Amino acid sequence: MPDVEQAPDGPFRVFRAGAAGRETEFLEAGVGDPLLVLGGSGGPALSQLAARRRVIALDLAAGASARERAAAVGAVAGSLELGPCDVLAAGEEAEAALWLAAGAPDLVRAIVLESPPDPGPELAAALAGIFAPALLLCGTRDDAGPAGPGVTCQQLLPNAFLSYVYDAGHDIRGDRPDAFAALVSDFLTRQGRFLARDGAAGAP
Amino acid sequence: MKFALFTPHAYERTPAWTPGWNPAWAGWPAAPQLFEPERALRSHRRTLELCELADETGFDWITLAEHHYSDHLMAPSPMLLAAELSQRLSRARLAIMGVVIPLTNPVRVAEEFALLDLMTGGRLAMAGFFRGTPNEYLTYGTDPGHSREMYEEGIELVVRAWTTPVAFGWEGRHYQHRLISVWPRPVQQPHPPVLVSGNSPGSGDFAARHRFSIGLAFLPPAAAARSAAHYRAAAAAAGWTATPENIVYRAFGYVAATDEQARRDCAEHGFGALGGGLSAQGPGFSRYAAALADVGRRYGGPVLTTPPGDGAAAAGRAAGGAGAAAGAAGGPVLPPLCGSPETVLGQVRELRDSIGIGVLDLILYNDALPHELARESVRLFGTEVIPQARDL
Repeated sequence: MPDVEQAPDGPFRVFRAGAAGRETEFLEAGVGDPLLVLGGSGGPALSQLAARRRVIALDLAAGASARERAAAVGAVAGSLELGPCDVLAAGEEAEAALWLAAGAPDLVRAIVLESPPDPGPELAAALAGIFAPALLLCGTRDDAGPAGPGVTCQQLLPNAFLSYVYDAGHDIRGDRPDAFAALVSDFLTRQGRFLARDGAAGAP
Repeated sequence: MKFALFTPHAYERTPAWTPGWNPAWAGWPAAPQLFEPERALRSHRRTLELCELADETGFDWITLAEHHYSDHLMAPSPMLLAAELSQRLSRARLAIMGVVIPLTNPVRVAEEFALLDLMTGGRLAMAGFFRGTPNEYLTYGTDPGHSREMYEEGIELVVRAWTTPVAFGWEGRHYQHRLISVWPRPVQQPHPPVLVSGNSPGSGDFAARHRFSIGLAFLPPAAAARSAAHYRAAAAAAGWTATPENIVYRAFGYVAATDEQARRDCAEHGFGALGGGLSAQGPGFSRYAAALADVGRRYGGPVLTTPPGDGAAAAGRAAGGAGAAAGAAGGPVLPPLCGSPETVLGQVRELRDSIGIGVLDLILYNDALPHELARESVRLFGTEVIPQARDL
């Protein structure tokens, strides 16, 4: 069982998991299907997601490589006995999420990447083997457009959907929290079917 | 310098003295029962004739705009008229100036512009976007309080739809699409030139930020010069240089054999400024007054309203223009460009120098001007003014 350390603002509480001396700190809130959150800002968007799911936000070790961070995420998921998880990763942590999906396809159910960077050549080669549905979110104030990393990832991932979030910069969930939470929630619930509007599914 | 014929697609309205004509049905919004098919067909033929004449006599562009519910013009969809013109013009290029983007679906607009670019052989001169005339916010139920935000977001969405190489979604503040993948794409890559309004400092800033061209419509020359200067400065601040080619000025014009005849024709027919074509007016209009006042307040600008019987003069005073002083004094409103070919050439030179424009978008006809006079004015401008003004 993880250690409860403190109760910060919002519904989240701080825990630690993993082997002694190599513990990973994480925040957790909510009940339901697990959603692993790697990187990105906190705030109302994560609280909204935690109202519908069990959200586990990991604070990954700085300095570790993307593959090492992916392994750490896998270790935490294993120690918590989460089973198949959805993964939401922001910025550089998108690389860790993709390595995790490439290496542990049974663990990763669906992926949301917020402002992903351009994948390096090694990771780019691995993307063709990731068949989990992926939602790629790019802020219109941040993304470079036709040559941006969102387009690159959409082209390399066989099951990815690119969506521009208007009037958002790099921190999409901070700039458009309501739109972010609603879109992510709808995608995770319905995956590829999210393209067809369904008011009954609680979609915006 | 380039010259454009602005094409309102005028509807030559039923004269007020026609038996059975009811003034309460005219104005804005016009009662559909006023519509006469034969009159519309004749008006349409005349528009095509003037556009073909402009094409033959050396105009560079034919420009079209979008307006709704007015018995002065037939322009709910400039794309449709442009499609017909694209098959008739041999040299002149088409420019849409512009689509009222908040009233429409931006993805559909992106698709239609791309198709029009294809139909013109990749020669669409301008894909233009305007926020529209305030009263038109009563047409499709668009919230006038959101018009500025929808305008800016809608244009960004159109450009993304043209340029994104893969299918994508758009999570906007006003537009939400899960799947966008327009086909055909524009023939001009990455997309046709884009023009937006530059009348106000805010719209000029938006244009400069996105490196779009601007249209200055119905501003008096001094105000247009201020707007153009603001736009050039904003472009410089954004790291690029706006040239005269980026600035289009729309104004009324009329050319006749002599100055005296030009003034007399314009005065006699009330040609020279925005008349009632776009304004809420007519005896039947009072029922819309409260809603229009609300629209004006939330749009952020006054709704053009015209008391019955005071059409061109009042609108001319509101819009300014060279004839505004005459209008204010109770006389006729004359076009900013008005006179013999030689006089008009001088006026073109003045506008170019004072505003710094590269394209002059001329309103040489509307429903008020008899067709024969309009034809002669277009012919004179094309054959006598443009050849001398070409190298300005």
